[in-house]
Amino acid sequence: MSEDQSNAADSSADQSASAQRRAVRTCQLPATSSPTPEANQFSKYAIVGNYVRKRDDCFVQHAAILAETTKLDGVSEASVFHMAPPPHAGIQTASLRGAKKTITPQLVGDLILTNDECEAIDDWLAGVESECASFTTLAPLQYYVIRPHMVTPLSEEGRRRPRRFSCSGFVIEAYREADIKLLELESIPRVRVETLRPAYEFFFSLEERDSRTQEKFGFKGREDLGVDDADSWDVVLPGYLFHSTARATDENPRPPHPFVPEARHACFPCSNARGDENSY
Amino acid sequence: MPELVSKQPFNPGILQAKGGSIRYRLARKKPGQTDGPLAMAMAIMEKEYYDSIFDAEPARRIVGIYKEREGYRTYSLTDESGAQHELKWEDSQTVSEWSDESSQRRNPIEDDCRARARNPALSAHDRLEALLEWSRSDSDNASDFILGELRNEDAQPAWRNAVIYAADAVEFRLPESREQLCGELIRAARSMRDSQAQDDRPVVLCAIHRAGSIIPRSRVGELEGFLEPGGAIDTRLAALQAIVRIFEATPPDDPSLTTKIADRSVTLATKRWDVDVFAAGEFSAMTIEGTIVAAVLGDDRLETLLNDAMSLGKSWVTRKLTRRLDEVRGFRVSRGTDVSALDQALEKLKNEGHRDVGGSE
Repeated sequence: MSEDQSNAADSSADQSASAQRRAVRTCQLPATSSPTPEANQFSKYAIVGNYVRKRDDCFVQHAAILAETTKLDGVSEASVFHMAPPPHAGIQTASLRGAKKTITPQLVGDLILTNDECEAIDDWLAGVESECASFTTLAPLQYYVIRPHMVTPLSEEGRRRPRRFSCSGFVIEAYREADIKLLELESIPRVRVETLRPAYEFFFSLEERDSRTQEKFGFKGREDLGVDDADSWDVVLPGYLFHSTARATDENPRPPHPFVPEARHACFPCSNARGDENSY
Repeated sequence: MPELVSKQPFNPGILQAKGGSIRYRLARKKPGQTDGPLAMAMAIMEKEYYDSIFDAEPARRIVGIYKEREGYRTYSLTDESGAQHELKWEDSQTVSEWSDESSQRRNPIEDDCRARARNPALSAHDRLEALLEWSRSDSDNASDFILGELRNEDAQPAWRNAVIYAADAVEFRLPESREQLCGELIRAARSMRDSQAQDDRPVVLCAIHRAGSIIPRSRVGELEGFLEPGGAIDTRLAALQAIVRIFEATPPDDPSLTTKIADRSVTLATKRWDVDVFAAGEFSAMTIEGTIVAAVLGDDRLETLLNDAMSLGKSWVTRKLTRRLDEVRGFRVSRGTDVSALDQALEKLKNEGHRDVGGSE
C-alpha cells in the first residue's frame, strides 16, 4: 500500500469513526481491556445504565445520564448525574458527603442530543441542584421514590418542596425538559414483587432489618416509596428507557411517540443472556 | 458517685450505658481528683455491639460483655487495639440518679437517640443521625431542640450545618415553631453567606429553601437580601425558587409587601434575557425563575419579560416557560384563584412560540 493509499485509508477510517461517533445508538458495553476506540465515545447526557449484579439476564437496575461526553468501555467509571439516592445534579450536590458521582456503565442509549436539548437539560439540572442542596446521604430514601417516577412533597404550609425521583424518574424528567418523552407514562405495565426485587433488592432487604438501620436509611416502609399492599405496581423500570432510545435511528433520531413498555422490557435486550444482541 | 474500675487507662470520665431499660452514669476518678468528667462516652448495650466515642474521635467499634457478678454489674470492653477495659459499678446507681426528667418511662431507643443528639463528644454526622431518629418518634421535642441549637452561637460549624439539615428534614407541626424556625434559618443563612467553605454552600441554600417553605407570606421581605449579589455564596436562584413556592398557589394579599422583591426579580430576569448575556445552566434557571416570580406576584412587567424571552428564539426556553406557567395555573385553579393573567401569558407563549419555534413536538 502506498503512502497515499495508506493516508486515504486512514482518512476513510477517521471518517468512518467520526460517523460512528455521531451515530444514534443504544447498546450494551461488554467489558474490554483493549484500548477504547473512538467509536465508543458517547455524548453528554446520553443515558447509561447498570445491570443487576450476579445475574445474567440483562435486568437493568439503574439509569443515569452522562455528565459529559465520555468514552465508555464497560469497565471504567464515568461521571454521571442521577438519583443515587441522594441525587447528584451538579457541583453543589457533589460536595454532599458521599454523593455518588460516578457509575460503571454497562449499557448506553445515546440519542446525540442537540445543543438546544442539552441547554434545556443544563437548565433543569441547575434548578434541581439548587433544590437538592438540602439532600444529605443521611436517610437518603426520604428523597427517593419507586412509584410514581416523581413526587412533589408539600411543606407544613402546603408549599412545594424538593421533588423525589426514582432513578428512572430523574432521567425521564431531564429528557422531558428537552421535549423528549421517553415513555408513555400512562401505560406503564404492572409488575409483581418478584420482578421488582432484583432492581430494588436493597430496599426490600431493609424490610428485614432492625428499626435503627431502617431509620438510618430513611426507610419508612414500602408504602412511603409508592409500593403499597397491592400485588403488582406500575413501576417505571430503568430497562424501559433503553428500549425507548433503541427505537431511534440516524434517519429518525426522535421517534414521534413515547415508548409503550411491556414488563419484559425490564431487561435490555429482552433475550435471556447478556450480549446476544444490540452489543457492538 | 460510684468509682469506675478499669484495668487500662480509660479516657472517658463518664460512661453512659444502657442495659435493657436501665441507664448508668459513672465518673472516673483520676489520681488526685475526686470526680469530674473529662470526656464523655456512650455505650449502647444492645445487640452485642457498641459504638463508642472516645476523646471526641470518630466512632470506634468496641465489643462489650455485660454481666452481673456479686452484686455488681460489670461491663468489659475491648477496643480496636485489643485493650481490655473492665468497668464495674454499683447496682444501685440507676437511671434516676443521672438522668433528667422521667427517663425511666421513656422508650429506651428514644432515650438513646436523644442522648446521642445532645452529646457534643459525638461527630456532627452521628448527632444528626440521632436527631433524625429522635424526630421520628418525638418530632415536637426534637424540633424544640433544633430551634435551641440554631440559636446557639457557639455551635461548631459542622454541628450548625447538621442542625440546618435536620431543620429541613424534620416536620415542625406547631405554627409558632415554624415562625421561629424561619427566622433562625434566615439569620443563619445571612451569617454564613460570606463563607468560603465549600461545604457551607449547600447549607446556606438549604436554609433559604427551608425558610421559604414555611415563612409567613407577610414576612417574605426577609428573603429580599438573598436576591442581591455579593457574598461568597450566590443565593439568588435559591431565593427566587423559594419566592415562587410561597406565592404560586395564590398571589400576595398585600402587593406593597412584595414591591421590592418584584422589582429585583424583574431586574434580574431582564438583564439575563439579553441575547448577548443569556447562558444555559444556573444563569438560565435564574432568568426563568425571575420571570416566574413576576408571574406569581401578578407583576405587569411579565409581558415584557416574555417578549424578551421569546426574542432569544430558543424553543426550549419557550417550552419551559409554558410548562412552569402551566404548573402555577394548575395550582391556582385547584385553589379557586383567578388565572386570567396567567391565561393571557400562556396564550402569548403559545402564539409566539408557534411562530418562532416551528414544529416542536
